[in-house]
Formats: sequence, C-alpha cells, structure tokens
Amino acid sequence: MNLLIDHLEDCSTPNYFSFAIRCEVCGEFWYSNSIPFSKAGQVTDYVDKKELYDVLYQKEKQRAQLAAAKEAREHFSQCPICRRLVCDSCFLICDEMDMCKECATRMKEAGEPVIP
Amino acid sequence: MLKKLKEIRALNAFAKKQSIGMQRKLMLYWVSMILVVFSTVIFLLSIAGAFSQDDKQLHEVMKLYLKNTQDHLVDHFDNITAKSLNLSKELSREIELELSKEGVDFDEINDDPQLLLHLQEVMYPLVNTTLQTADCNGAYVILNATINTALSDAVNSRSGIHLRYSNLSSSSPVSPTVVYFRGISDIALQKNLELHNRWNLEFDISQIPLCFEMMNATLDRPAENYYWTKRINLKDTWESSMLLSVPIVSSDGTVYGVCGAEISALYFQFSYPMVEDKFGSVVTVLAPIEDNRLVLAKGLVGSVSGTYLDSQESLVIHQGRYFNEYDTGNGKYIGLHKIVPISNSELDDTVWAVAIMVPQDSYVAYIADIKQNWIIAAMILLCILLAFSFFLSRRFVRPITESLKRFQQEEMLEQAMSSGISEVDELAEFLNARARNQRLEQGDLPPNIADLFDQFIERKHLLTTAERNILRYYIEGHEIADIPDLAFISMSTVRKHNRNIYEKLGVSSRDELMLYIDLLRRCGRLNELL
Repeated sequence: MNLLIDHLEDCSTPNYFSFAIRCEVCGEFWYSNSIPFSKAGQVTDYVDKKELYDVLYQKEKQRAQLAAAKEAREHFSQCPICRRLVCDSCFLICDEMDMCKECATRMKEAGEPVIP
Repeated sequence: MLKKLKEIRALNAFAKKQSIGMQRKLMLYWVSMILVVFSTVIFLLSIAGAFSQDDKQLHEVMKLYLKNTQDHLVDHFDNITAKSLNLSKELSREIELELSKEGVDFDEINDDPQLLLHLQEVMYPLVNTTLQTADCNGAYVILNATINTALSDAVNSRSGIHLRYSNLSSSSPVSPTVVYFRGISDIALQKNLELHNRWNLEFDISQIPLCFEMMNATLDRPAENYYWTKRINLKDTWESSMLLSVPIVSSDGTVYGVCGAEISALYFQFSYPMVEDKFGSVVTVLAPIEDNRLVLAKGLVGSVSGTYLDSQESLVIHQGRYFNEYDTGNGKYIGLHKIVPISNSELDDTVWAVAIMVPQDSYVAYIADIKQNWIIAAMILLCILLAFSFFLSRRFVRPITESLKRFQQEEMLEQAMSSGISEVDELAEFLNARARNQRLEQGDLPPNIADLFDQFIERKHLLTTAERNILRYYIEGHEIADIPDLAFISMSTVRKHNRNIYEKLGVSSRDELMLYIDLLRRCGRLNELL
C-alpha cells in the first residue's frame, strides 16, 4: 500500500481531490475517481475560518489519497524483477514467475497480460 | 394358588428380560388385538342374542305349531260337540214321542226288554248318523234304565247303544266298518252289524266318570252341560278313550240318559300325527292339568313315534322364557301348552290343555350341531386372522431384517439403499454419518473421498509458482483482499490467478477450494499440497 501511496501523483484542485499513477513500463497514467471537497465553493471572509477550511482540506485529501491507493491496488503490480510499478496491461502472468512485459522480453519468458 | 400366581409373575418377569424377535413381538401384539376384537365381537353377538336365536326360533315355531294344533283341535272337538248336542236333542224328541205313543213314563221302561228294544231301534239311526258325520271313532247313547233291575250290578248297568269303528289305520282313520259294542243284539242282527268281540248288553256306568251324577242332575239346557271324560279304559278291552257326555233331557227336565261321541287314544294318534321338524319330533297332547302337571294318563297323546313319550306319564311343567320344560322324571320335553275349554259343565272342573312338545335331547343335539358349526366357523376365522397376523408381521418386519442384514454386511453404508421404511432409512443415514465421522476421526477416508483427495493433490503440479504462492496464502488462512499487499500484485492479477487455480485443481469456487484445504488439514495431508 505504501508503495502505491508513494507513487501517487497529486492532481487535486481546490474543489476536487484526484490522484494519478503512471505505469513505469508504458508510461500511461491511471487516474483515481475524483472526490469533491466537502466545503468546495464556500467562501469565507474570516481568516480563522479560512485556516479551519485549510486543515479540513488537508485531512480530506489524506483520506482521498488512501482511497486512491486502494483503488490503484486493483490495477497495479510490482514487477519482482525490476521492482517497477506496472499496470495490468504491462504485467504478464508467466509460468515460473509473473513479471513486467519488458523483463519478460529480456528473459524470453512467455506470458499472458493480466488485461490483454 | 398364591404360589402359582407368584410362579406366573416370575415367569413373566423372566420373559420381559428376554430379548424377543421383532416379528414375534409384533405377532404377539397382533394376536392380542385379534383376540380382544374377537372376544368383543362374540360378547356383542351374545348380547344381541345371536346365540339365543335358536331358542327364539323354536319359540316361534312352537307358537305356530300350537296355534295350528289348537285351532284344529278346537274345530274338531266343537264339531263333535255340535253333532252330539244335536244327537241329544233328536234323541230327546224321539224318546219323548215314543213314550207318549206307548203311554208310559220314562221310569216304567226298566225291566221292559221290548220297550227298550223298541227305543233302541228308534235311537240307532240317530247314533249311527252321528258316528258317520262327526269326526270321531264312536257314538253312543245310554238310557237311565236297565233291562233287569234285579241283577246284582243293576245299579251300574244301563241300557244303550255304542257303535264304534273297528279297523282304524293311519292311512284311513275313518272307515265304514262299524261294530256293535254295546246294545241289544237284535239290532245288530237287524242291521247286519258285527258284534264287538267284547260286546256287552249294557253299559257299566261306574266306568264312565260323572255319568251317574249327570243322569240324576236336574238340567234345563243340555248345551250348558256337556263334558269330556278323562281317558278311560273301555271295559274288557285294551283300548282307552275319551267320551263326550251330553245329557238327554226331556221337555219336563227329566234326564233320559247321556249320549255323545268317543275319541279313542288310537284314533287321536292317527288324527294328530307326529310332525318331524328340524328341532325334533313334534308331538301333540291333549291332557288335563293337575297340580302343575300335565297328566297324560287322563288325556290323549298324538303319534309319539321318534320319542320315548309314554301316554301313561305325568309331566311336571317348568315355565321358561321362550318355552316350557315338561319333565317326565325319565326324560324332558320342551314345548308350549294352552288351556282349551272343551267341557262346559258345572259337574266337571277339569282344566284341559293342548300342548305340543319335542324331546329336549333332540333339541339339545340340534343346538349342539349349530354350536359346533359356530365353533368351527369361529376357529377357522381365528386361524385365518392368526395367519393374516403372521403374514402382516412378517411383511412388516422383512425390510427391517433385510436392512439389518445389509448393515451387518456393510452394504447399506455405501450404497445408501432405501428399505421402504423412513425410520429405518433415517437410522441407516445416522449410522452412515456416524461411521463416516468415526473413519475421519481415525484418519480413514471412504475410498471415493480418498481418491478425490489423491486426484486433488496430484493436480497441484499443474500450478505455476505464482499460483502456488497464492494457494499458500490461502492455506495460511489469508483472504483474497490480503493477497495484493502480500504479493505486491494487483487484485486483477489475483483474480486471474484464482481462475487458473480453480481450473487446474478442478474446483468451481473458492468455497470448494477451502473445503478441500480444510478436509486435507483434518486428514493430515495438507503438507502434500504445499
């Protein structure tokens, strides 16, 4: 889980939380579902209140990041050879050991992608 | 007695401790039930009167016989009485006429043979007509006069005529052969009649009960005074008869004598033949009742063939519910009787009864036959019921015993055959389950399960290293959700591996896979899978 959290790139806006992970083999980005900030669109004139909203924003963002990591767990695996984070399209089920497409090509291992 | 009771109780207690076969026990229940039902039916039948049906039937038959016999006898005796009363009237007129012609009083005819002969000549046609027309075997007239008053027995000697039939037979009770039993022989010569071999000139009235009293009584209407004598022996003969006595009364009330008809014992026998019935020989009796006894010696008895009834006996009457018992002392008869008023005289108070009876022995034999048939039928029914109970109990027990045999041979355990009895099948199921558990506890497996396990373990070689790693996680108790973190692979990869694992190991779901893992763990063969 920590691995995924480390690889999450923050794409959030003041109103929505969103994260992305890039496959280290094909370079394609995967985006998590956007989660709206609970106080999105609410403007306050008070400084103290604005400070409270900032803290709230950070807390909700952490929760959204955790949710995005869980969501990413459905689609990303770590290649046991090169230790890179790869998407299901680039991760092959091989006879001996599952590995990324590139490692498989290098080692001449036959395999079937998780998602063809 | 107490000791025997104790012995029986001890025997019963011992029997209870013994193990009895199911069929025998079931049969015992059946037999008990059949006996109870059978006893109840017999009891109800006896209450309903099914077994006293014969007594009732006999009563009905006897009643019918008695009614028919009574009707016939009363008709018969009424007819004779009417004829005799007519004879009396005719004789009275003729005698009165003759006496007036002769110009003599009735008292003067004593010691006058010519006048007596003349009177008898006048009376003969009337007596003969009565004999011919009345249903009797004799007719007579006795005048209160004698031919010789000087004789020593003149007191009892009276002149008269007595005509009788001599040759009675059962085929023709009344035949025209008339014999001259009493009377002046000149008339027999005139009429060409045969004299009876015990012929006498005059009657001995001491032999005829109440004859003397009747002749000396003062009577107005003879129809009010007629009576049948008790059976008397005819003097100097072997025969006995009952005589109807009707007084011959003149217009001034003088009794000239008596007249009437005779019914002999033999004639009565022919007139009232024995009737053969299924209950026995039915005999007709006409006899006076004295001190609750039917005195046959003073009455008449119909044909008695087939019985031991003697016409000289007295029968003690015992009243019964359906019929009476008549006890002779030597034997018993059963039947019914009824009082019949055949006499009508202030001089005679005899109570006459007509009775019909059958020997009790023959009735008892008939009842014994019926009872025997009943008993045989009941025994046959009982045997059929017992056989039926045997058949039913055997049929009921057979599937159970066969199931037990299969249990013993351990066939049913594996084959799970149906015995046809749900309780037995449930027991078999229970025993099967217990046997399976015992084997599992002992580490044994049923042959087919062991084969399945072997095949399952054998198929593990088809798994790739990654799949085997995932399987190991499952064996260690991890859930699917744990696998991505543990193996650093995506959930999609895990699912794909799962599909491959299921397909290669021949299971259809994770539950089935986990069941195999659990069973292998219990059998101690899980290591073979790793």
